[in-house]
Amino acid sequence: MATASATRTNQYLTFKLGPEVYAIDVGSARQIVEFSLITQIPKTPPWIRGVINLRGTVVPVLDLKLKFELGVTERSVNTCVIIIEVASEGDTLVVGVLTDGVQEVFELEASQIEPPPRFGMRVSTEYLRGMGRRGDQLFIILDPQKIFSAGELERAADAAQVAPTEAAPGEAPRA
Amino acid sequence: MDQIALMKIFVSESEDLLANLEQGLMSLEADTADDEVIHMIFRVAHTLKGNAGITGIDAIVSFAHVMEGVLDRVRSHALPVSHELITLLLNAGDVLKEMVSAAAAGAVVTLTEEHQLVLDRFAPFAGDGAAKAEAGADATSPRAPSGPSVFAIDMRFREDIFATGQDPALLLQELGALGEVLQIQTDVSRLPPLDQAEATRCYLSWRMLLSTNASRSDLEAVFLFVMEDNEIRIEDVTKSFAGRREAQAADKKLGELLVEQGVVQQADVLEVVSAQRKVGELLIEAGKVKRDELNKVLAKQEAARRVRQNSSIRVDTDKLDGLVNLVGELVICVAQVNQNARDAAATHEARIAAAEVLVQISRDLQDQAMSLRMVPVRETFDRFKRAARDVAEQLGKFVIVEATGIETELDKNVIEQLADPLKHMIRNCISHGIESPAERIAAGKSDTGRVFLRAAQREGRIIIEVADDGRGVDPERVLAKARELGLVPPGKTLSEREIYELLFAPGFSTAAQVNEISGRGVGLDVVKRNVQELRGTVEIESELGKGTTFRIRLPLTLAIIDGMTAKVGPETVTIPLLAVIELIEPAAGVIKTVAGKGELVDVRGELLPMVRLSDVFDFPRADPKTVESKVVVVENQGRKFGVMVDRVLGMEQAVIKPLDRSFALFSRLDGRYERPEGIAGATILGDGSIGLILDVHGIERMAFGGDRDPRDTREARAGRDARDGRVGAAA
Repeated sequence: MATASATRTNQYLTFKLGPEVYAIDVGSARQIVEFSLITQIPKTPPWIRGVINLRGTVVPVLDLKLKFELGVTERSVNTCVIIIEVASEGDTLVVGVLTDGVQEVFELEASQIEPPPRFGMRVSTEYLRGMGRRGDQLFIILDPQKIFSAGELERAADAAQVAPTEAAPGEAPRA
Repeated sequence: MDQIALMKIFVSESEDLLANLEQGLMSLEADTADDEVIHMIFRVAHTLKGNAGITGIDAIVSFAHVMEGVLDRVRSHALPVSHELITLLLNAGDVLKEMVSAAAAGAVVTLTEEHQLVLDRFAPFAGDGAAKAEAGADATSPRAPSGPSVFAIDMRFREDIFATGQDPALLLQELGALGEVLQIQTDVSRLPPLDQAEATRCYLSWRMLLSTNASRSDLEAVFLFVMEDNEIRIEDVTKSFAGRREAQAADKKLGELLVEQGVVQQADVLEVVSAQRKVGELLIEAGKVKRDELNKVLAKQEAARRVRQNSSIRVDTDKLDGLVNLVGELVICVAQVNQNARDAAATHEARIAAAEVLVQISRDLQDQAMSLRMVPVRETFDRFKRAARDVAEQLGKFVIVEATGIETELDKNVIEQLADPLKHMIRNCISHGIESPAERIAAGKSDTGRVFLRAAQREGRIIIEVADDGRGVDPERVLAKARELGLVPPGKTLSEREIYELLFAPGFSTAAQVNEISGRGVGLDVVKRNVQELRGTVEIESELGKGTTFRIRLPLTLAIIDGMTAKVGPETVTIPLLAVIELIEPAAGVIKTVAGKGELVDVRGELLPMVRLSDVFDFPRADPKTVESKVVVVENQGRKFGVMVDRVLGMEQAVIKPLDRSFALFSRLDGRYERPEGIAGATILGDGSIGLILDVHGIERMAFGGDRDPRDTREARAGRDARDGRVGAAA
């Protein structure tokens, strides 16, 4: 266990988004903070709730429920923010994810994880690592790395279409 | 590891030396009789040769040696300084730079054919005497008999010498201090296999060639305590020193010797050497080593050789001393504050006083720490002098670059980011601004054009100007061109300033190149973009026939700004104070609504466009009864406009926290997400919450657009993407 990589352990942190229980690998979670002062950034989609001050660092906070169209996260005593690290081009991006409360951390062997069902999921299966079971509780294991590259794929597809017009004004003056 | 450390020092020293060389050559061109500069240049070549010798880079040694020889003749006035010679020396400097950076990258430095061509060009300057000395065949020793003697010192110490309290390393150092070590060889033949070697025993022997003014007895004094028990031999070899070259020849490569003896041509040797295969390849072929094993070792070697990765900065010791002093004061003050906090008897005044001192010290500390990042523009300007010379040379123009304000300090990052735009502007000045010598004479000017580089700190900003005394920009032609390109609707009149602004428009330049006269503007939009990224502005001033001036204005520091904080909806925003002109109370009649054109604010008779920040940011408009709205009049590139906020809180210094990473993340999550223009970054407020720093330029664009509404067209988005450098990041 000690040699397991920082991003992939056998330990999982479960949390609630609405009534459903989700989990992430604890290796990618840095800490859990209270949801208090938040600053909105103008002109951003609603699922970007704003930025918070994490000991002097400005960290954006996202509402995955809004992103996955599962409703809005209302502030309650249990509401908290999981600070997650995401690798990006050799850099580490830090982001907060709003949850309706964290539950527990426990171990789960790889054999206990089942592949996600092909249908009937409210969250697109491409963001998932699989389904876990603990007792009679079933939960969805999210893959933060995949969630945070979704836009890139869209963008790449977008860029392929826009590329000719985009290149023109940027390139011409260099001639 | 020592070799790597040595290489690191060599690279950084050589870079400095070569920069000095270039700078010296440039000033030598301005004043060819300046002996001091000539001596300096000579010393550079000499030092470089010496350093390369220590580091063991033979190619640089032999190259610098030729340069040194020619410079020696210049120094003794046997050779006049000419334009050609300076050009050649500059080229030679370039070759050396190349070699040094090759060495820094861990490559093996060799004299390529190209390098040899440069070397060959020195031949006409070398003169007879130097040529002979170079050939080394001359029998007469170049050293006067009264000069230093040369001793060969053989040292073979007892293995247990450390037990006697002696250390050969110290003895070697002591010897080295007596004169110049010409050569030192280490004999490792006594070294046992590593597993049998004992750290406390000395297995090494040395042979040193020392050139010194000291006598034999002085040398013997060094070995006073070891002479008896160890084998120390000191031999005076001054007489046979003329034969030193032969002695060295033993260590020379066969190819070099063959060339020297005239048996083969240099080119032949190079050809054969380049055809030669690497040891690793041969080993693989012979089946002695597996390729992946070899690759592993090579990768290690590569990693070890990469000596220049971290960017470093040279800091005045004064600045460091100041910093250390302040930290000392801080420690004392913190103790004071701490004690006051615990001491119930401490008066309120005492606490306040201590806190005030703490505030003062931390402010000084901040200034001092920021100043560490500040470097004078001198070095950068010097580099441009060289670049300017090259461009002028190509175009057959005569140009002198004059730099003023070179001690002005700028943030290191800013200087790095400015290098390209400045180079661009200088090139522009020379290729388009400065006329050909004939044209200049016809216009009644001196045939030599002048390019001015000026730096200054004024009005809380850094101002950098690139100016020329060339033909100037003809606003009529620019306007005509812009009309042709459809950038200006027909019939619309523009001020001169607005016309010059057109030169920065994307797409203007390429078309304008067709027109030789007003051909300025090659990539000026790129220049503008780079400057804007540094939160600066750039403008052009020009007078037909007299010249053109580019003026860049930059904030003093990147990380901290003075700002006016204000409330908008639920958020706090900071408006950079440099952009703020005044505050207006929106009393009755001050704000006027014009149908279809939005709102205007009446500033003592002057009507300015106005925007409500809450509208720009899509925040709900506040209830006028609960807020104390103010209109902040701001200026962007000479255009004034009003920004209405709900409440002004005060002035505050704001540490800028860039939001780039957050925005990058958002666009990773959602491909359609676009960064809002009006936000330059975030800052952490006194209460720990986060405030947004406004980008006045962006706000203006969001609120008023340009001539067309840039928000929704795909072209505009692409243009903005290009400006923000996001195309690359997203791809």
